[in-house]
Amino acid sequence: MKIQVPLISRPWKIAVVLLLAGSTTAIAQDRLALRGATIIPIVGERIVGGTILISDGRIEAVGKDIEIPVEAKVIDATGRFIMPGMINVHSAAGMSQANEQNANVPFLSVVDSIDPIADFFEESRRNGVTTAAVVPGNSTMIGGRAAIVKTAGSYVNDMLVKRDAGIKISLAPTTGTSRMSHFARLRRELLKAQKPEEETSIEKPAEEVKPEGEPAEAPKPEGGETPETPGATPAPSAQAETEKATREALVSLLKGEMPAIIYCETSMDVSQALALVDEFKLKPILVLGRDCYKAAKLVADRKLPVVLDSTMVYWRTDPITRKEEKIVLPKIFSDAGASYVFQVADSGTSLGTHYYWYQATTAVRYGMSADAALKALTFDSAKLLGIDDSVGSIETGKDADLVILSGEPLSVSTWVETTIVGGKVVYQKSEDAELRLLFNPEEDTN
Amino acid sequence: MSNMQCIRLASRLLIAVSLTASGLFGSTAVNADEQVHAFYVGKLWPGNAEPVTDAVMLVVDGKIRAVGARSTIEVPESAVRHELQDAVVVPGFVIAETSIGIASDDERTLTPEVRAIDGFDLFGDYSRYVAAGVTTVQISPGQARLMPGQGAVVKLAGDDHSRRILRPQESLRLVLSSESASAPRIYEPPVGAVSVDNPLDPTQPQIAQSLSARVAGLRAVFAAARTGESDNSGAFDFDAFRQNVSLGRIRIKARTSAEIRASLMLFAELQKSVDTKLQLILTDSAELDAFLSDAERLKSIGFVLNADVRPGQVLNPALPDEDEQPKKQAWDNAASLFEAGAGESVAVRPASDSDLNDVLFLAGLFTRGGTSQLNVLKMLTANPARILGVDATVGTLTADHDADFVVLSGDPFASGTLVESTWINGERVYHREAAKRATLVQADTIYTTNGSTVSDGGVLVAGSKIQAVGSSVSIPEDVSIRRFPGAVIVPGFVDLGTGLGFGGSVSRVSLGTTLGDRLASDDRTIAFARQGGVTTAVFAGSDSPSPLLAFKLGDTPRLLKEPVAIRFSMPSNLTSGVSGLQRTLASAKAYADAWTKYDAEMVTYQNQLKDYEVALAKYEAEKKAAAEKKAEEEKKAAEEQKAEEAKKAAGNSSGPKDESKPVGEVKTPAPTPAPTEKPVEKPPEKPPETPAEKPAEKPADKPADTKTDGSTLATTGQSEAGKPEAGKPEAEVDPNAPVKPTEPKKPQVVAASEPYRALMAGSIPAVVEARNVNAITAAVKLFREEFRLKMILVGADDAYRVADLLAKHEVSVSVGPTLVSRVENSVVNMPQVMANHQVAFAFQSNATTGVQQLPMAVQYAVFRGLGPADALNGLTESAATLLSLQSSIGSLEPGKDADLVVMSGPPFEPSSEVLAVMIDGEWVYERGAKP
Repeated sequence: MKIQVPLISRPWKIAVVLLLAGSTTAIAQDRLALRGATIIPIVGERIVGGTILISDGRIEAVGKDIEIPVEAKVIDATGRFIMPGMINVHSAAGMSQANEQNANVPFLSVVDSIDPIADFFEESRRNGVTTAAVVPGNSTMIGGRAAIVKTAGSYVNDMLVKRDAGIKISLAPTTGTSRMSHFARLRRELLKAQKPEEETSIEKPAEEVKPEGEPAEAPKPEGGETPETPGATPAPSAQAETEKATREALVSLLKGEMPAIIYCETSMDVSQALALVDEFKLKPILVLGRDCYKAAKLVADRKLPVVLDSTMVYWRTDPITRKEEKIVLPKIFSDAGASYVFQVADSGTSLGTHYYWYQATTAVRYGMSADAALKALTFDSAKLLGIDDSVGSIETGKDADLVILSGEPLSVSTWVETTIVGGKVVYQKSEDAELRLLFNPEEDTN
Repeated sequence: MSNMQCIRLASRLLIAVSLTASGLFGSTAVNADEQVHAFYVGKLWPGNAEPVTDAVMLVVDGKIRAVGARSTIEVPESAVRHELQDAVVVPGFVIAETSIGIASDDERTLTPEVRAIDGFDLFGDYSRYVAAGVTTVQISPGQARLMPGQGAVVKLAGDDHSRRILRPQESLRLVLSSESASAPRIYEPPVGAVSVDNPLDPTQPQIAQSLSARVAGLRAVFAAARTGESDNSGAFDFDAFRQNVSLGRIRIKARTSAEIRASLMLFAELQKSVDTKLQLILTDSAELDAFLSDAERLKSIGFVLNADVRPGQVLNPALPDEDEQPKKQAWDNAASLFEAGAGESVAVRPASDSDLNDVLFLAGLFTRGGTSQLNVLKMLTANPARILGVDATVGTLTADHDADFVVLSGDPFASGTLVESTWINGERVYHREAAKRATLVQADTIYTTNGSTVSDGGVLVAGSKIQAVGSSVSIPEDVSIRRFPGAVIVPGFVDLGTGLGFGGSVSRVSLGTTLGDRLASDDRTIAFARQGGVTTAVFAGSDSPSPLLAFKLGDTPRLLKEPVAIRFSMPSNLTSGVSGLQRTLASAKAYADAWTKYDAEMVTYQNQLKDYEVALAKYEAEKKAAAEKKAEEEKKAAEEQKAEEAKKAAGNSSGPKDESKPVGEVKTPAPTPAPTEKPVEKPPEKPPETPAEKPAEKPADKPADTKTDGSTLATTGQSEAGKPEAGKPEAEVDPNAPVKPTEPKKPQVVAASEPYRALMAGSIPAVVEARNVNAITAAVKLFREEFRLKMILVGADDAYRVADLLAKHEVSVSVGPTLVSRVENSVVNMPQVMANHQVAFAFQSNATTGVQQLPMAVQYAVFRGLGPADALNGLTESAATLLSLQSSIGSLEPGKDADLVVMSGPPFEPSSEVLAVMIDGEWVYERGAKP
C-alpha cells in the first residue's frame, strides 16, 4: 500500500482550511442543533437520544426534550455519541521550534511562532482535540510563555483562548551543566525577580552598564570601525528592554498571575519543584517525565494534579540487581492516590502514544475507570489549565467544542465523525480527503 | 516499614492528645499511649563514652528516649521488644565529607550559589553505604574548583524526606589543594538575554594556577564582598556568597602545610568581615606538624582526615626523598591531635566514596596510631556530627537523639565483625540476609503422591527443601505466604528421556565421559520446557552403552546423579548382536566382581589386622617378660658360675695375673647366651613385615603393565592373593609369633568401567532400548535372567504384547513419546496397558522444548482411559523410584527437594493449567509473568 499523504503540498492544504472555513460560516450565524445522539457531558449523567442546541458558538441548551427552533440547522446524530472536545494539555508541537537555544528566555511567547496550518492542528481536529496548550519544550531553563489555543482557525489571534497561559520551567539540566548548576542558576534568576525593582535599577547604571556596554559595541557591524560612534548608544536600551520584559514575565509568575509549567525529568526533580513552589509561592502545573514515578506519593500528598509522560508503560532495568520491572505510570499514580491527566508524544516511533484515545485506554487497561479516563481527557485537563469555565464539558454556556463519535468512546472501532469548535463544524470524516487517500490509494489516480 | 510509619503517625497523634497527661507522670516517665520500642543489646557504645553492657535503648517516634543498663531503665509493658541478644550496637556512622550523587563540577571557578543538595537524589539507592553502617553524610558540591559551592548534610535512607535533610546548607567549600590549580575547563559564560544585541562575553580564564595567585584572588573576592559590592548579572554571585558566609561554616581542603597556613590566614580575614563567629573545617590535611603547638586554635578547628588508604589495594607510593622526614600517616596525625587535646574535633573519611563500604576497616586502622577504640569510634560518630553541626540530632546514642544505629556482630573494629542491620529514625533500613526466608505455598488440594491427599493445606519450603506439608503447618516468623485459591499442588514431574541440558544433542558419549559439570545455565530452552511442570529431566544420549544423567531444570541446572542409569540398545541383528552385548556385560560383571571381592576382602583384612595388632601386643608383652625372666636366670647362673669359679680360683690361690687368663678361656662358654639373645629380639619385628610389604607392592605394579581388562585383572588378583603365603616361609623364624595379615590387592580403576559397579550392584538401572517382541524378550533374558539387573525398557513399541512377561520379571517401562497409538485398527494406550498388568512405568518425551508438552500427552492418555492417579504416579513417584532418586524427589514430604507444580485444578483435567512451578525452592515459572 502506498501512502501518499506526505506528498500533499502545502497550498492545497490551505485551500482545504479555507474551504472548511467558508462552508461553515453560514452555519455559525444560524443556530445549530445536534439531535438523537447519546450525549456524554462528562459532568452529569449520560443523555440518551438527547439534543444539544448551539447558538453563537456556545451551548444554549442540552437535554432530552429540547424544542429545536425552526431556523436551526439540524445535524441528525442518531446512534452516535457526543462528548466534549478533548484538550491537549502540554505540547510543543504547532510552532516552528520547541526551544530557543538560550535557556533563559521568559520574555518569549509561543504565540509568535504558532502556525495555524501546521499538521498538528489538522491531526488534532481529526482526533477530536479541540483545545491545545502550546508550551515551550523541555530542553530549557526558563523557556518562555505558553498559550492555549483552539485547534481551528486561520489566524492565531482568532484561535487564542489564553495568551499567557504559563511560563515553562524545566528542571532537567541543559546540555553541559550539572543539576546543581542548573538549579543554582534558576534560583538566582527567580531571586533577582523577587527583589524590589528599585534595588536592581539603582545599582545597574552605577556598576554594570559601563563595563557591559563596551563589549556590546564591538561586534555591531553597523557601528563601523570606530567604537566611539554615537550609534552604539541604543544597544544598552534594547538590552534594558529585554531585561524589563524578562522581569515582567517573572514578576507575574511570582505574583501567581501565571502558572509555572514545571517539567521534572526524574523523581528528585519533583521534590525540587515542590521546594521551589514553596520558596517562591508559585502556582504550579507539574509535567512529569516517565522516571518520576517514585515521587507519586509526594504529589499525591500535595493534592497536585500532574501531567504524566506520554510513555506510560515501559520496562526498567534495576542498575544494581539488573532485574527488569515493568513500570506502569497510571497504576503507580493511581495507587499513590495522585490525580493526573495525559499527554501525547510529539515525536517518536511508538505510534499509539501519539493519540489521546490510546493513552486513555492504556490507563483503563491498568485499572482506571472509563469515566475517569474520559474526564481526564476533557474536564480535568481544562481545570488544570484554568479554562474549565469555558471548555471541558457539555454544559449550557460553555463553548460549543464537541466531538461526534461513531460509537462508544475508547472503543477500537470508533471514529471521530465530526469535530465542532466554537459551534462550527471543523472536521468531517466523510470529507477527510487525506483519510480517504490513506484507505483508498487507487481512488486518487482516477 | 510502612507499618512503622503508621505506628509513628499514630504515636504522633497520641503525643498531641496526651500532652496534658504527661505533666502528671513527670518528664522522665513514658506516656502509656505512646508506642515504645525497646532494644535489648549485649553491648552498646553510645559514641561519646565507654560502652554499656547488657543495655536497653528505648525509642519513641524514631527518637531515643532513654539508654542505659537493663537494671536502670524501666521498660513499659506495652513496649515492642527487640531482642538483639549478643549484638553490639554503635551509633550510625557519620562521614564528614563525601561526594555521593554529585555528577560533575560546575565549569566556573567561583560558584558560591551552587548547592550540593540540589544534586542529591533523595530517591536514589544508597543501600550499599547503609549496609556498611553509614547513616549520615556530608555531600560536597564539587572537587576541582576553587569555590565549588555549598555542602549539605543528609541521611542516606528513609521514606520521610523531611527527616532526611539535616542541613540543606552546611558549609561554603574552598579547595586550596592542588586539584583547583589545574582546572579542567575554561569557563564560557552563557549567552545573554538577546543574542543579537548582547554578544557573547569573552571567554574567561581561570584564576591563576599558583597558590599565591589563588589566595590573592580569594582575598579580592572577600574584600569586594566586604565593601558591600553587589553584582547580580556578573559571574560571581555576591549575594549567595554573603548568605553562605553568614551560615557560619567554612570548609577548606588544604593538604600541605603551605595550604594549611594559607587557609588559616584566609579564614582569619573572612572572620574579620563578619560579626558572627565562623567555624573552620580543614579537610584532607596531612602536614599538620607545624600547627600542633597551638592547642586552643586546634580545638576551634574541625579536622576531617583522609584515611588515604584504599582497602585491599596495593599501590606504589612515591619514594620519599632521603633527607625528607618520613611521611606521616593519617592515623599518626589523629594520634597527634588527640595528644594535643583536640581529639574532640577529629573525624575520618575514606579516600574515595567507593570505600564507604569499608569505613569500619579504615577507621580500625586508626587504632595503629595508639588511639583507643573509643576515640576511633568517636571519629566516626560524635566528632563528625559536631563538626557538621548536627550533633544535637545524630552521632551519639543518647536521649533525644535520632535513633540511627548499627547492629554489629562483634566489637566495632574487630576482624570479622559484620553489620547485621542498620536503623535510621528507628526504622530498619538494612538487614543482612542470613538465611533464605521460608515460603508457605497454600492451595485447596495437595497431592503428595506418597499415598495421602491434603485438602486446604500448605507446603512449607525452607531454602531448597520441603520443611512440612499439611493442613496445619507451624509457620516460622519470617515466612512469606503465597496463596493459590482453588488450586492443586503436585510434586514436580520427571521426564525420563530428554535432549535438554547441553543446548543440543551430544554425540559420542562413552561411559567414562562426565557431562554433569557442563550443563548449560540460563538456557532458554530449559526455561520454556519447565513451563509444563517437568522439574527433573534425564539427559539420554544415543550411544550404547552410555551414561544417563538426571538434573533439575532450574536457571542453573542442578545435577542430581551421574550416571543415573546406563543406556543399552538392543542390536538390530539379535543373532550376532546379543552375544556381543553379553560379552560386554560379562566383562562388566567381572570388573564389578573384582571390586566386590576386593571390598569383601578388605573387610576381612581390616578385622584380621585388628586381631593381629592385639595378638602382636600380647605376644610382645609375653616375649619381653620371658626375655627378662631368662636374662635374670642367666644372670643368676652366671653369678653362680662366677662364684663357683671364684671359689675354684680361690682354691688355686692364684694372683691377679691369673684373672687375665680366664678372659680368653671364658670365650668358649660365652657364646651360649649370645645366640639365645638374638632370636628373641628379631623374629617378632622384622620377619612378618617383609612378607606383608613385598607382595602388596608387587601386584600393584604388575596390573599396570598388563592391559586393562576386567577379566585378566580378576585372575591376577586371585593368583596374587595366594602369594603372600608362599613368601611367608622365608621369614619363618618363630612359629609362635603372630602373622600380620596381607592387605588385599586393589583392582585397577578403569574410568570407562566404573559405572558398571553401580549397575551390577543394582543401585542404578539399565535402560534398555528394545522395539519389537523379539528384542524385548532377548533383553529380558539377558538383563534380567542372566545378569539380574534393574531394568527399564524404553522405546518399546511392542511392550503391550509382552506385558505379562515384563510383569513377571519385574521390568519397568518408560513410555513415550507416543503414548496412545493405533495398531491394526485398535487403539493401544500403552501406559494404561502397563498399569493394568502391574508393570511399573514412567514417561519420557525424547524432546527438548517439547518437554513442556509431556504432561499434555499424559493428559491425553488419561482421557483415553489411564487412571489419573496412575498417571500422576508415573510422572512423579514411580519415575523417581525407577531412578532410585525417591529419597529426594517424586513426592511432597518433609526433607525432600521443594519441587512443586501448582495447577488450577486436579491434574489431567481438561480445564487444568499450570499456574506456577517451583524448583529447589525457587519460583521458576508463573503464568502471566514475563519469562
